[in-house]
Amino acid sequence: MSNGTLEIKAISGHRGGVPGGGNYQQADGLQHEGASRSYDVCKLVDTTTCIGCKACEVACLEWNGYEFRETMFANTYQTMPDTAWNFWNLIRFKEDEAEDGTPQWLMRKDQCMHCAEPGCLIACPADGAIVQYTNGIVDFNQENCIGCQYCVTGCPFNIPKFNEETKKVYKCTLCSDRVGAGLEPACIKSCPTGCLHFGSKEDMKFEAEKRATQLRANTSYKNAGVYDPEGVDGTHVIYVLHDINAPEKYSLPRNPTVPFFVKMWKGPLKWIGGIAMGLGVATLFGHYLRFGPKPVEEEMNQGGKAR
Amino acid sequence: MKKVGTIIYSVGWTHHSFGTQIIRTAAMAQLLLGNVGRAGGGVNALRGHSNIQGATDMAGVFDILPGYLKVPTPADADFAAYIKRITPTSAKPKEWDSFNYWSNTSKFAVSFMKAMYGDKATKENDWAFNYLPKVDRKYSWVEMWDNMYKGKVKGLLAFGMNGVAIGPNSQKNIDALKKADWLVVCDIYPEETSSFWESPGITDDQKKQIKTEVYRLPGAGFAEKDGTFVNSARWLQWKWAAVPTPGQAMLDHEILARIFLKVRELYQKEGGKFPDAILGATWAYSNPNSPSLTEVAKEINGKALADVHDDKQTPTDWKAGQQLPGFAWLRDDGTTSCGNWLYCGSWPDAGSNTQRRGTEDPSGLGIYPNWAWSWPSNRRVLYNRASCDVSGKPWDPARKQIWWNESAGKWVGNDVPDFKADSKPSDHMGPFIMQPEGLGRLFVPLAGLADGPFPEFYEPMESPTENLLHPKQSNNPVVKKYSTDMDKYAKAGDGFDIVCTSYRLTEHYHYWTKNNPMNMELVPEPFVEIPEDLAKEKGIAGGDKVKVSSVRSTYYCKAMVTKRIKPMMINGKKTYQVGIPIHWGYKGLGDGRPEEERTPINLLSPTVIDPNAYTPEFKGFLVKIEKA
Repeated sequence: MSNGTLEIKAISGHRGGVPGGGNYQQADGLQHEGASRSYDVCKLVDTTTCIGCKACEVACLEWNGYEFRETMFANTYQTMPDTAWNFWNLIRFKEDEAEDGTPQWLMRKDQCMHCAEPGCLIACPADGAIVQYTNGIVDFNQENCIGCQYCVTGCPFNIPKFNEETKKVYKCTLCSDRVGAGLEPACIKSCPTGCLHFGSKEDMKFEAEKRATQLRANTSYKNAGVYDPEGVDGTHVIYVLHDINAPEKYSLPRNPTVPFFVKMWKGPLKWIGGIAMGLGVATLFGHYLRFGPKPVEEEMNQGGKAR
Repeated sequence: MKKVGTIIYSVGWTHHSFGTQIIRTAAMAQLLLGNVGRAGGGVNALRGHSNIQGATDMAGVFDILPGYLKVPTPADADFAAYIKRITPTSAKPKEWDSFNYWSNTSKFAVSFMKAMYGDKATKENDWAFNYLPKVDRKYSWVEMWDNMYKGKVKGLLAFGMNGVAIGPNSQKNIDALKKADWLVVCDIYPEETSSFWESPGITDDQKKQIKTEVYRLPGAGFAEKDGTFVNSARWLQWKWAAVPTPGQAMLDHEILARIFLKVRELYQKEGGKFPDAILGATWAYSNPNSPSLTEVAKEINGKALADVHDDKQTPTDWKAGQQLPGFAWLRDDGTTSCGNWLYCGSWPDAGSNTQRRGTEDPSGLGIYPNWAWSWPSNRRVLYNRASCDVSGKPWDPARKQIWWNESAGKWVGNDVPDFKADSKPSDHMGPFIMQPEGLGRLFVPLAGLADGPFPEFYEPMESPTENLLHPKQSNNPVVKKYSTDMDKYAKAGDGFDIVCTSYRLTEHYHYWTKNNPMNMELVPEPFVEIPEDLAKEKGIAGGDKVKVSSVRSTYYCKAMVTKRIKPMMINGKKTYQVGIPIHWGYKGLGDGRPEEERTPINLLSPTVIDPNAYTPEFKGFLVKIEKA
């Protein structure tokens, strides 16, 4: 799902600079040269005005060309238990009760969060399978995917999903093809209540804080707040929640981070590994110098001949 | 007077045997709060379809003609008597002047007759008044089915109306259709009504007994035709066909036109009891078999039939054949024609206003005067004179809708004044110009509503409890109970002690989307929402198959156990309520259930209607529930 009109900021499993890139720090912490920095895009999901109509689920499938599937009633309004490789946008429903017993029906649009520090990209060893554009979109290029699923491990939001048939991993692209053409993502366009907003990260952050302030001042949601987790350096999908102190109610992690071992592996461990690998080669060479080539057995040498 | 509040309701408020009085209560509250005639105020209906307003404006109801002209009755001896009966006379309370706009009724009515019958309607023949049907009883929805069940109605043309699924008391409607001679259904899917002969539980033998001849006509979906939608704010918005009709499907108006022309041909050939009204109807379309909706819309707007002149208007003249710019031009001398006076101005000589898409909002009030066109006369807020004080100054200077301009000697503003433009404030004309006294009404005089001048609290016709205000008369006394063997009503204590209500889901659209894989993915199966306590009592777990039964029939579905519906304490008794989304039936995509369990929800609902608007009582009846 790469798009020519978007500028790439970071590439998975890639050594050296980003083609056409400007000066900026890549997600792996290294300084790169090339691309000029454009503004960051962002989706704002206001859970307080979502009515759970799921128009965004349909728009996502239609735009991305995935088929509708047969589902089963499961004592909930939620379409499926989880997102899938070909179902990227899911409204999660939760029946909650306030302390006084007042029922509250929480609905949260679940999709890729497009982290500023994308665990998937950091974890990915395949050159160019995952890219991060300068506008913040994290996108998978299935043609480069090797199916190792390290990205699944790297994601703190359980987003990338493996397709057993194609042996590739898929997820929400933030409609990079639409955004690259100057359009809003399909989910945003389909929202009938306007609970979904799209714009620059700065603007969305401003709108979100404004809304949260309004909720705290004028409603009983005294803990309303904005979910834009620092642990992954902020996200390009942010939420207004009725209660920012209880993100778990919306099945959002309280403090998502890129898993420690993924960071270690792609950070210090990568260098330690490189050194270890160099040492191994040196040892091999030393072994060769000392013992000479391994003699090949006669039989094996003739194995291919007809008998 | 700076704060304004609106009441927005959806049709659930009308689904009661006292629905009209609920809406009246809302209107009274808004009048008392000063929320009428003001931007951001009013009582606003959210309809179940995109064009309910348009359907009502164009008389999709038996007791009105287009533009809310009352229908003639057998007592109206002639046109003059008819007009006299339906035209209110001005009443001026004390010093208040009165516009009484309905005093122009004769102009609207004669112009309507000219649109219907053209040259056949003349002053000499009483504007062909004898062509109009004289409505002698209430031909409302439920009455129609009742009469078919009684064998009096022999045939039905159903266009986009799935009468079996819509109900109420669907089995009565199914059995009524079994007694009809013929049924014509125009729809975009095979639906429950045209498939009544394969309804759940029917045996092969029973099928063989049915003699009804059924015709299915493939109509067009909304995206396949041009025309206008009229929204609840009365905007006429033109839309263009997005896709062609598939297969053998035809535009609905082409189907109607072909039926009409065929019927007219038969009348021409064979005569008949009263051919004049059919033969005399105007049908001046360039393609009679499929009239263009542009032509129809222009016909509804109306035109000058002779040169007309009016010194008080600008411009002062219109030539014969020209489209008219507004209903102030309509005449009762036969020189103008107009299909619906309220729509006059929607398609003037300059072109269609319904196709305008201007996004300017100079006042910042959200008026958008150049987006489409709203009746009447592009006035966006009705009774907007009430947005000003007695002296003609806006109550809120920061939110000015209209005001009195002393030097110009008329009302001006950001909206089109819904008022007599030159009536100076000192004349004290009342802002409610459609009432003969010009005032908003808290009291409904002259038996305007069947159940009285003031709203009253009533229980539904099927209720688990009594009305503490007046236990001897728990429910609406003027609601009619139907008397056929299919009309059963439960009483408290009959074993049906759970309150049931039905409703729609955002994921589905009526009984259509069960044919569409995308909607079926979102919500695949019918279910009933039940409180946790009730589920526990009945040993029902979420996802279990259950039977919901009323005194009339049984509905099969799965249970959704929820915290969102709580038991209620009513008159000291713990009372349960359950809720059923309406969208399923025995046609549409299969969901794995056996045929006999693919039941429509309205098998359960009673034959009970509001006495004013004739809306069925879907929002309260009695059931019991058990594991299937």
